Amino acid sequence: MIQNFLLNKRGQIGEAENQKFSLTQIFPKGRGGQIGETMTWIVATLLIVVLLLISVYASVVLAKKMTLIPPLSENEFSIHDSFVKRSMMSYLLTKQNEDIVYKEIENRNTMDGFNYDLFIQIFYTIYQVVGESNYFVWMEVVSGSKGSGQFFDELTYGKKIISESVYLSDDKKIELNVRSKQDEKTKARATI
Amino acid sequence: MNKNGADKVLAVYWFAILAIIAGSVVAMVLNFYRFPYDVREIEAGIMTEKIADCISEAGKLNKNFNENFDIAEICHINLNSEEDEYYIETNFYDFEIWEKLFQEKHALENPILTFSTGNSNIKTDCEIQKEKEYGLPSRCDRKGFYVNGGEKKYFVEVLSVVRKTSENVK
Repeated sequence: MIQNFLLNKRGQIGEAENQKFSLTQIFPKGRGGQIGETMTWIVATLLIVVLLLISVYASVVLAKKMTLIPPLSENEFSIHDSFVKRSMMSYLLTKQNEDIVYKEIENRNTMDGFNYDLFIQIFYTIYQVVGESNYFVWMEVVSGSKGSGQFFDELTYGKKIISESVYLSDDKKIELNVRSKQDEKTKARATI
Repeated sequence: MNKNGADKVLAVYWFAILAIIAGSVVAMVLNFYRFPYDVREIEAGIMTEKIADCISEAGKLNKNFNENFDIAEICHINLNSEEDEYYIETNFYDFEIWEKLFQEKHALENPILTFSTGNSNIKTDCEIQKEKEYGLPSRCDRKGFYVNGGEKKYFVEVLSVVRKTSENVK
């Protein structure tokens, strides 16, 4: 009798299931399990949608940023600056006594007197006055890889950003260095 | 039967997700490539470089330099029909008094000579952008250098401005 009832019951449930489509059929589990699994799917879907929205937004922001091509002089890997080089060439060609600064430095092997004052007047003014003291600038006669030691204390800190040199002979050169106390961004201000 | 129903619903779900992801990837690519490259800063930089090369020839002041110096002609700058989109200004400061003026913060107010060409109205865009950079106005490149003019020494400031907004900004 009980067995017949169960069979009938099973038969009824089977019919109901055939007629009506419900989540019970998809997730034939207990109610707690069904809710848990459904929530997982909803959260996963929302996560995918949110991540995609962030990516779409990021693509707009990145596109705006990356399509702005910075000037070549702001290349962080470059240590050369054509304007510093230009000033340096003019400085070396400036008349000193009967000769030019280049010849005086070549003969005396160091910077002193007029050429040192002129160097201060040009480069200290450009980089330390206009650059609001964000820079160190020094010039020295370098033999091989070793400098004369002038302004050596200033070498110990700051980031080297510009280095230009003019050769006096095969193993001797005049080197001009500009070092920033802060970051690369202030470089543009220093070049006026 | 239950399994078939679940598979059908899941298939629809997966197709919907696939469509969302594909749509997003397309949107990302379209977004990324719809903005034109803004090369105005490079263009202004190249102009400044060209002017500087023309004024300082290997460290010496251009031999054609005089009080009526025509930048466009001597430096071979041809702005053609796009003259309204560019502005070039060159200021010469007396180097002997330049340092003193700098200490007093007046150095860039008293050029002894000024030469310019192009549309001077767009120069104001450079002033606007001094504190904060905006996308639309013109791009400016301002550089300075020392030049040896024999008897006289100068500090030269070159300013190049490029507007060309429609070609570079969206």
